[in-house]
Amino acid sequence: MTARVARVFSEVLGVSAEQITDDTSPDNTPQWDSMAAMNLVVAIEDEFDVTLSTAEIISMRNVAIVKKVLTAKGVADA
Amino acid sequence: MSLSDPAFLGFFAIVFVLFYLLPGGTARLVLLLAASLGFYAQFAGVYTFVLLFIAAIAYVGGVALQQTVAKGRRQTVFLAALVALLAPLVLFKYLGFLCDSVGITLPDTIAQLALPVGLSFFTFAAVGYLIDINLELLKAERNPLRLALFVTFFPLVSAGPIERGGRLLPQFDLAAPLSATRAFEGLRLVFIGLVLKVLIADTLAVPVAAVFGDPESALPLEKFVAMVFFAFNLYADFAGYSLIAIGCAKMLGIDVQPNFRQPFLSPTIPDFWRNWHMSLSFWVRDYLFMPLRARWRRSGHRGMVAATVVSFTILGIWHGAGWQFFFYGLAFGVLASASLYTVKYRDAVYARLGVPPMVVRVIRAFITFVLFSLVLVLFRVNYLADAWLFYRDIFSLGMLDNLATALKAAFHGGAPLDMPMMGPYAAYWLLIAAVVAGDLMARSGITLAKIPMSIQVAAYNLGMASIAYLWMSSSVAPPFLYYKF
Repeated sequence: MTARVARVFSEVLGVSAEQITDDTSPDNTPQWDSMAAMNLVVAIEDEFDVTLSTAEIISMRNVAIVKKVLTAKGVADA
Repeated sequence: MSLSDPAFLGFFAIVFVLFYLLPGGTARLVLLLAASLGFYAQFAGVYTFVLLFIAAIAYVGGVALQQTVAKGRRQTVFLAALVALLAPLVLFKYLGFLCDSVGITLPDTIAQLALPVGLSFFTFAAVGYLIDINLELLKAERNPLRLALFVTFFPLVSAGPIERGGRLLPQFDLAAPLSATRAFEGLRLVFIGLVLKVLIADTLAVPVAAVFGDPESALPLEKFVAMVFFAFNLYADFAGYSLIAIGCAKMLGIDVQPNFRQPFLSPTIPDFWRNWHMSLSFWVRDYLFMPLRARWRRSGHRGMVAATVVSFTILGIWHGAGWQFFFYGLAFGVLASASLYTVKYRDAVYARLGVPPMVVRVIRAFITFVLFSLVLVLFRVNYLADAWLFYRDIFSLGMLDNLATALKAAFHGGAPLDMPMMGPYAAYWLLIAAVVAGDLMARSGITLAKIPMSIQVAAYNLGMASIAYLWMSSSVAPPFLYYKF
């Protein structure tokens, strides 16, 4: 899952997958602006075939939390 | 006693000395809490109970949320605590306006309630804390003294920055010994804040008050200049306040988020709001815009525009109950949306014309500043109808006529344009130039801390002598503009 999450972030934000770590967040990634945030959500939902609740979406303030949310939704390989 | 009063510096000096004389932990916590309540009580008197009420609800609501596992019941607890937290804000700030709008007359006892200082700030801090617990981003604080200090912390209670529980609460161990480096860093911020407030903001406030107080009598050019002066007046006032608050907290070993980051150098309106009153705009982003955007995420551009406009409109109304604040927020919502969707095309135009990137940055910052200043007229006018007088005159032939007269006087020795409301006009532009130069230096990484110590000492002496002179020559220190929110 880590590689898939990194790929989705890399494609949506336009940065290399190597730059995506658990600490990647809007605070340290200028490309992760308010417009990109929802493109990320839609891309994650499509990639992992899940539906995220509003609460889950607004809690996703870094990559580590995104992975935690996906794991809680039953996506394998946390 | 506001943060720029000499009396506050005396008060803070006593708190600072006692703080480091006491052992770390509970003793310091009790000292800061007592100082915070005492500081707030001298502003708000009996209304201090509102602050205590908010702290109590945040504490009880947070702990109750933490202990409630069942999803439905958890939402009930969350909503009940949220309503209780927002109730004072509605009662003191919005009820009168809402009732007026639908023709209901309130009893005098309610209509005459004063707005407690800082209500919107500490309410939003408490609401953010509760939302973070509800989202399981934060554990509820079990120590009531620590939570009470989070809501009432005296450098922040009157006008922010609006802090997050996750950032402030972990710093309340208060165990660190005195660090000279840190204390000096904090003192430097307090000094810069005082310069911005006492030397620049309070000076620019004079012509601004004259023109906005009597717009009918002001010339078109006077209105335009007052509009520009007010943008810098507000910036110096609120950024100055924020630096004093952040500096005081730093001297007590507590890091607070920045509130301004050279906003007038921003190339677009969305970027401007990432650099202006950052603690509020990030609060709105995280707790309003993101939920709305998430809800409407499959609605494409319509969802993005709707979330942007609604968020900015609420940001406007946060400032006060009145149509001027509604239109202030709405205008920024529309401008931000327009900016988001046109930036690609504007980039293409600049590229096609071959405009150098540096020139593009200057043009964009200038346009963003002018747009901000125009909308800010709504923020400053006493009545919504006054804004119309400003916009009508600024875009009139009279404005061109005034400009032609002023330019002729400057370059061809004609009779100068008489602008009685403006006072020592050239000196004001020097103050504005100083603010812009300071921001350009900060953006380039040149801060006061990095210049030679001999120059720093000269700057501190000159600055403090000027501040002391203005303190002595003014019987009443003008309050910070954001105290009324």
